[in-house]
Amino acid sequence: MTSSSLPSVSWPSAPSSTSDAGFDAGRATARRGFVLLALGVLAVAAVAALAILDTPVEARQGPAQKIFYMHVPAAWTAFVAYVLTGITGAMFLWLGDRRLDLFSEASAEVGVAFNAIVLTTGPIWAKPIWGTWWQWDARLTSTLFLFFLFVGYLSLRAALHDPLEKARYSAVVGILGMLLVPFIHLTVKLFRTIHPQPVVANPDGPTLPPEMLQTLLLGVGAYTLLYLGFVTVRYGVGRMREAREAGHGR
Amino acid sequence: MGAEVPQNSGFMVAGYAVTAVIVLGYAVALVRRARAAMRAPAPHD
Repeated sequence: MTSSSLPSVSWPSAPSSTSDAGFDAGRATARRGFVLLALGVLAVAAVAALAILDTPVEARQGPAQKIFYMHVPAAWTAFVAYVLTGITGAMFLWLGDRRLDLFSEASAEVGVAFNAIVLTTGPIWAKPIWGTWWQWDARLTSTLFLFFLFVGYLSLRAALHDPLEKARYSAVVGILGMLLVPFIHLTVKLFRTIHPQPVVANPDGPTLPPEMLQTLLLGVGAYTLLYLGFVTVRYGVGRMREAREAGHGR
Repeated sequence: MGAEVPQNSGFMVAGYAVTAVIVLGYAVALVRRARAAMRAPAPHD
């Protein structure tokens, strides 16, 4: 795809007052993000304590099954982060608002962090249950490739210097990455896989005992709050950086 | 009489430890980046 085939959007050199306002807005956003981030970390710690100390041990899998309460919420937030990266990337291509590109960048980076949790906790859980750290089956392999794709997205952004070119190309990669997310969700139904079927998002309703379901849902809430904290701070950093570059570029 | 519950707490501890390292490591790195960006000269300087 060439840059000429994409819609034309402008990336004007910001006047001084605009870059000052952008810097101040970024700083204010990052400060708000600190509060959300602190709340998110505390919420995840609380859910971890609840899972370890108060949620029943699964009889067949033993305590290792409690990794589930970190693994699944991290997967949920990673997928949400990637979908938002793709949506805001598409909106950037449509509207040309650079703030959408900065949000897209922030969400991709946070998604990679959560994806790293999924890819490390998964094998630690798998070893005592499946007897192996890893299987090259559809769910695990596609999740690993999604991680690589978004690491590539961040590398692409780091390699390009022209802001408009960076925003356009990475938006396309982000949209392609987003398209993989529903496919990964369906891998456990489309392929023979060692990975368990969904225990909440399935047509017959949740299949977990109520105490486990409650801890899982609290985990999803806590990780979503943590995502909001991470992405708000990261977006603020992006806005401050961009305002400074615009100011120095005049 | 039911089967014995597997004794694999070490894996649980490892899973939570790895999660804590990634979450706290990224949080600290991000806060440091934000504070460094706040300290850097503003565009009008």
